[in-house]
Amino acid sequence: MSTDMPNRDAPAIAMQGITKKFPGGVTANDKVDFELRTGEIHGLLGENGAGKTTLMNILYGLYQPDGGTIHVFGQPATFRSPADAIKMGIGMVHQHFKLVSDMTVTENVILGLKSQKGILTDLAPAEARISTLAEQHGLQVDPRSQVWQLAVGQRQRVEILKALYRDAKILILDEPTSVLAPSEVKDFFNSLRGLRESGISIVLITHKLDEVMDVTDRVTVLRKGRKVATQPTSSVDQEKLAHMMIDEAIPPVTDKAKTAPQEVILQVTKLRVFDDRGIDALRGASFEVRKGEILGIAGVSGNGQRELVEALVGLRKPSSGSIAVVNTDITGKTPRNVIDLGVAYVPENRTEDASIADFGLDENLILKDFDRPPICGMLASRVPTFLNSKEITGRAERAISQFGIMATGVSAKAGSLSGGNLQRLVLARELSGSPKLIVVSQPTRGLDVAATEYVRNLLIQQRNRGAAILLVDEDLGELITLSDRIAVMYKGEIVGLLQPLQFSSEEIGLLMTGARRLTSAA
Amino acid sequence: MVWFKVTPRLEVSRRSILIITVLAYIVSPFVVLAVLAAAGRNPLVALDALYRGTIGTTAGFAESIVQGTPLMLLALGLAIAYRGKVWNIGAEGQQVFGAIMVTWFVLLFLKDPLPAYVMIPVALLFSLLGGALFAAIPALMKSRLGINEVITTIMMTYVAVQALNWLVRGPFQDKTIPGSYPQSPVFPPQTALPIIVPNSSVTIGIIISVVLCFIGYYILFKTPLGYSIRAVGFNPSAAKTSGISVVRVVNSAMILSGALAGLGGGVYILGVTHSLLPEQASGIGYTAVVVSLLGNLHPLGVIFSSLFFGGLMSGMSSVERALQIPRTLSLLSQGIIIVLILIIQVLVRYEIKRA
Amino acid sequence: MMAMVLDAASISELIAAIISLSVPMAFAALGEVISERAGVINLGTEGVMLVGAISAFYVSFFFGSNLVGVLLGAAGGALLGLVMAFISISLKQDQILSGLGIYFLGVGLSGFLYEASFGQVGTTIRITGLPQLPIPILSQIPVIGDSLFSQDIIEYLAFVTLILIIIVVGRTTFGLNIRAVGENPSAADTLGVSVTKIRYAAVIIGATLAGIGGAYLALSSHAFQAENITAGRGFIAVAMVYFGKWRPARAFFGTFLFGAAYLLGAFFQVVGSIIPYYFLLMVPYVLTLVVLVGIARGARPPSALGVPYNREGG
Repeated sequence: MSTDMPNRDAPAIAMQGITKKFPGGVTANDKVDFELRTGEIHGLLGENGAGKTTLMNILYGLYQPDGGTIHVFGQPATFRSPADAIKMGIGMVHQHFKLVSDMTVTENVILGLKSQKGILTDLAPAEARISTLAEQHGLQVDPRSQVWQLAVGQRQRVEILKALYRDAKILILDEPTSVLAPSEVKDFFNSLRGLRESGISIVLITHKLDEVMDVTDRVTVLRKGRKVATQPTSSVDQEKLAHMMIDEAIPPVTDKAKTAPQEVILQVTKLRVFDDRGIDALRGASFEVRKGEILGIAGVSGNGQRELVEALVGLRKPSSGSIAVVNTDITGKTPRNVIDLGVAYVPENRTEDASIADFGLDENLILKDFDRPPICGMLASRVPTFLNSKEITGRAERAISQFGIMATGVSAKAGSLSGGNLQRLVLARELSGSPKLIVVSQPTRGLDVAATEYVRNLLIQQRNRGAAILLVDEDLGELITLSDRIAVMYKGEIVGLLQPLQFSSEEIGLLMTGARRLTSAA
Repeated sequence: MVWFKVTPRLEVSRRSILIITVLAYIVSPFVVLAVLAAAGRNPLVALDALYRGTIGTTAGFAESIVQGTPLMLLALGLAIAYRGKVWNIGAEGQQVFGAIMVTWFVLLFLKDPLPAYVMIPVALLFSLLGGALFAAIPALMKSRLGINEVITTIMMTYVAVQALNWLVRGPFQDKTIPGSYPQSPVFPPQTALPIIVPNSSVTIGIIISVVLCFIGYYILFKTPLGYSIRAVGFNPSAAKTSGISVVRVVNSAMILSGALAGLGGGVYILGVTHSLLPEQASGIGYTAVVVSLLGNLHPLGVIFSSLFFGGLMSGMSSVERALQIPRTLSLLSQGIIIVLILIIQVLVRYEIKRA
Repeated sequence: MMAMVLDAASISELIAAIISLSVPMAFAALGEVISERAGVINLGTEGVMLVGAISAFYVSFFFGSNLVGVLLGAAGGALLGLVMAFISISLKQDQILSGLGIYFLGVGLSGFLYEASFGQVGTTIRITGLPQLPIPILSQIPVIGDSLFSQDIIEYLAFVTLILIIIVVGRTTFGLNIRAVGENPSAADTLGVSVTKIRYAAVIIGATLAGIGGAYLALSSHAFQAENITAGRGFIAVAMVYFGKWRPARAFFGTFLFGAAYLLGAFFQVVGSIIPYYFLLMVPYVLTLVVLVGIARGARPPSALGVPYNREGG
């Protein structure tokens, strides 16, 4: 590293012609130019898959670009690992926090840094410095607490403190508000403004237009790996930004058929579920979902939604309470039992829980019924014999054409599919057989616009057909568009059950943070 | 400090896997020769002995098959289990226990044996059940308690070997011969596996083994059981979410491989030794691990790899006799070959670039 | 027979024998704790111990120096650790398979080297072991003085190593890195900690300690029976890490339980009992199974244990 004084007139960051290709032919960044001025909050806007995170990962040294140059305060820079980026004053807070939950805040912050005491760790002065920085920037957190004890908002503070502790002059934040409730977002943006006042330059990666308008000074829009434009925020509005982000016209969602209330398909009564640590994650939830309706579950992630979903599909045993599908009790039953009752599940983690990467499309489609007819031959109607390859191939071909899956063939490995196509595959499997109840979580996460619209329309179609749908979604806009009713979860309880007239971000936001409560405790 | 980067290749063609495997077969004997040369022995003499011991003479060829047969059964079971990521390392203990169960049955009828067409199938059934039972304990420990099966199956093997040591010196010992030899009475001729190649020890064991390999192929790729084993091996989380009982799959895979190992032990004792000896614990269970890997964990591939190894073992005996070197050389070669296989697998499945 | 056990001298001998029998496993267990806390399970520990044993044996027999033997055993362990690290970390191969490869390699290598140097298996060649080093004053304490405080240098080293490991894991930056890399390697990576380097170091240290354990096994047994000198101790050491819930002290003292178990066979062979000899030999292995079942429910391994780290895999 050179010892020249950094050039204060030069931009904090100047990235020119950055190109990055991934194996499989995906070009994540295509000759992108990006400039961050000193002391500004710069929004990096684009839909899912536009290349924002990739670009910043390159800046932080996690990826190496295939082409282009980077300058930091006028100095040319090549980052072979985050250590190099950190040395040049760059800090990054990732969308999925990088914290070691068993270690304390202090330990997490000093990880990777040299200690004053040589090989021994020196926790006391670090604790003191962390407390000082926390006070200074309004990011209070107890340095001695272990990370697993902290709430999501506090963990985010730890992530920022990690960067500040290292004298970061440049802070990259990747979708920081995705884990915050609307009122917490306000406080968060105030902290950002405070950081800007102290001379820190900030990149805010987001896909939310209102946030860009709220807190950024300038905004750069990426679309399909290319830079579309960079503008001062004052010279644009949400419509202009949306237009820059997405070229195609968004087809409106299919109309939801108006229906009279029908029979109850899913009945949940006073359900209590423990999480992995044995703590009450779901504390007595009661609700019902009727035929032909979509019940949305709103809430900041980590308030019991995951445990609720796992209990419903048989992956987690409730400690008390009951679950019934079409009047049949399924509390504590296995996934097999639940599936056999006509329940479909579209998990939020497609690659880990819903598909097998090394299996072909055809093999993935038979995951739930490979041991029964028509997929499997039977002896005396009781003993499974051989898999019927004709049926399997036939099903795969039908699924590909019906659901528009783009793949090289019926035996293409699921691991080679893009996010959108993988979701189509999962839906093709789960929605076949007209399930009575569909449990779906974060259905459009990571999908591009076309796939997102496809999935949303598909869910509406299923609803119109008469399926009962439980939709857990962090995307409030999507939740409001799709749901017939919305239940808001906070700290393991349902604190509000809203009718369409009551749908508003503010209302839901207040419920999500526990500031308001519409239902009595179970 | 990363000087190179390893990234997975997207599509690995079956052809390249086959080519690489055949290459491994070809290179392995030369690995052995290199080790011998390094130990100061004459590689040319070794090569000649190797050839004569494997395919050069009928005796050598027959011996290759005899050695390969029990290997094939053990490796088949392991191939199936490993596909489910059930790391059964206790095939040795399971085959020993299978042989023990056979001995128990045969000794019951020592004075008055039943005809061969009864004795042999029942004896083999005992060996199968013995292996299955012996594998059931580690199976349950893994499926119900999540305990690492490598450690438990290895512990069980030590138990089986000590049980063998005790039995051949105690309850099963042949008390009719003078002196105190650690061996059971010789089995009656009605228990001997029929020989199919005159003037050799090649029995129907090889036919049983090859047939079972074909059956294994069908089970693994054409039946629900095989499908569920592969699914759990690739992604247990997705399998469980889709309703597959991971507990049942793990149990099935482990017990099936145990049964096949037990059968291998039975085929060995009824086809080669005709009595229970300490040598039943020959280490074949560990060799089978290598053999199943070399066969790419494929039931049909196992046919070739086990015959190859049987040839290697027969050839090595021939070399040992010709050059007066110890048995542990084979063990060393096996270790090197495993590492070689792993490295070759990497070359096939991954791209290595400079970073 | 039972009366014989109770007098002070016998108890003292008992304790000394247990310590002596446990130390090899204790070293291996400490090493495996380091390796597993960093996220890498090394099932080849048994093979590493064998290599350590033959190295020490060779040096002791031909050159008379026990301490150089131990050093060579450590070096042999380090070398195998390097191979293990390469296959499982750089080549990202399944850790179970890689460990097995190391196991076979160790078995074969040690057996071959033995016979290349000494001839046929089975003939026992004896070496002189390590001298006792009694600690002044403390060794005068009745019963434990003669055993606990009159050990040989490697036994003392084992206890010292335990303390060192506890300090390293809990109070050094290296230890912090190890723990981070084993729980959330991605977190460490984004802060500039080289996951690869730390894991390499942990695996090599672990194997080195196992090599020392194997070396001591040869020196304290005074003889070498090729494949069976370790008799599963390496695997038991790995099981002890589970038993100790990845805490150094618990794993360390857990192995003493097994030292006692190995002792039973020898003890009853001398004294005579109604239980067949071979059944007593089974004790360590059955005990391992029982212990594993006993602690199964409470165990929570390092979160990244067994998973090769892939930065761009997300």
